[in-house]
Amino acid sequence: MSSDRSYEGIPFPSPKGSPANVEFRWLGSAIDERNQSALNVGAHQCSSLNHMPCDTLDYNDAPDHARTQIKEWWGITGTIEARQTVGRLLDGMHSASYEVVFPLVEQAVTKSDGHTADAHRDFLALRALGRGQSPDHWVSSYNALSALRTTVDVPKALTHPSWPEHIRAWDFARLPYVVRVARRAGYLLDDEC
Amino acid sequence: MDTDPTPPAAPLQGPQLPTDCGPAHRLRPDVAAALIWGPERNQAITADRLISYIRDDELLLVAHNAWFNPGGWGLVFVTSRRLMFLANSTADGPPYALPIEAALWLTINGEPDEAGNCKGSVIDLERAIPMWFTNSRTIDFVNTAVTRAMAVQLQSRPDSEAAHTDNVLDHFSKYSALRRAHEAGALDDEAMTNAVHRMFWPSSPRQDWQ
Repeated sequence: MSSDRSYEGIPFPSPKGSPANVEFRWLGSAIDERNQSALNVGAHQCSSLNHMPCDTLDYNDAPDHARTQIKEWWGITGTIEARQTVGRLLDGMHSASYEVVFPLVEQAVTKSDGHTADAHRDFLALRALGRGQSPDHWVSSYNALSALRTTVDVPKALTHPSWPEHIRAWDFARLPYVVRVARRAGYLLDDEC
Repeated sequence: MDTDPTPPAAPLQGPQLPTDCGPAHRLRPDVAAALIWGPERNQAITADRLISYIRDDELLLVAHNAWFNPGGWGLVFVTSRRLMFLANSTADGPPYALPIEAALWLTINGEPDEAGNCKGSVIDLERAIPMWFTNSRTIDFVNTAVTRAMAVQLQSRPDSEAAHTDNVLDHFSKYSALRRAHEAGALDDEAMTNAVHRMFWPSSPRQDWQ
């Protein structure tokens, strides 16, 4: 078989009106591959949903609007909070709790021996107290995921075998967005972005 | 005895992604089996063209008739790595293809029409792709192949990042053993309190907790 033949096929076309039809925005900026790869992680969040160009940190919103936006959505009001939020996203802001709670909920859903929701909640609360963390955060994280998995009329997505063990993509995808808006708000400098 | 002992059998493993199945052709076992059980009508030309797009590192799981706009009737193939569709009317060019990691499942949309054809949707991470099949059982077969292939794909990826569970299940097992002992009366309240304290506050003095 010839080496230049495409075995990958072409993507299925999306129906009219589908968000998947929104084109990514490209300005043709000169950007090195490493930086482009970093921005690619947030392409859907930034370009498809927020109309930011894929190949630059620049975008058109007024700095005041950026400050309002990032305060309302992320509670960031200054440089330190912006840096902290970026660090937490890199560490898995949402995924870290999920990765601990998920295996417990899985065991409860499959009714493994000794795994009850009450025992899990007690355990997570004690574990949090022992670490100086908020028991409420851990128990409510457990309750939220448990409710999703045990709701009476379970949507098919919630019983799907591909239910993920971590949700780091959720955090990483938001990273370029937060960096862009924090930079536009004047909280982050070009160097650290 | 001077004969070599029989080497121990390799441990049984679950389904794994193939790496080299050889060039795809009509008599490769997976392709032959899928074609015997699959398309109801003779679509040899489409099948041959679609087979030429099966790579050496993927197995053909099911093949069925399907209708997709644009193109009309054709064949849908589910391999261990992709879902592909090629219309009978397509003279040239590659098939439509969806990586199996992006596919979620198929749904049946409503009752069959007068000819018995049934509308379904291939659901992927971003959209629903409408497609017609010759009956609802076909949608079930394709759906089973997609979900099974994806499960294997996700389980057998050596480069996928493991979750950081912080050994939560092991820790819970120890805690659960304490609870059971307490409920069975093997630990009184004070012993249980001390045991829990040692487990969750291993380095701090007892009185700090109270």
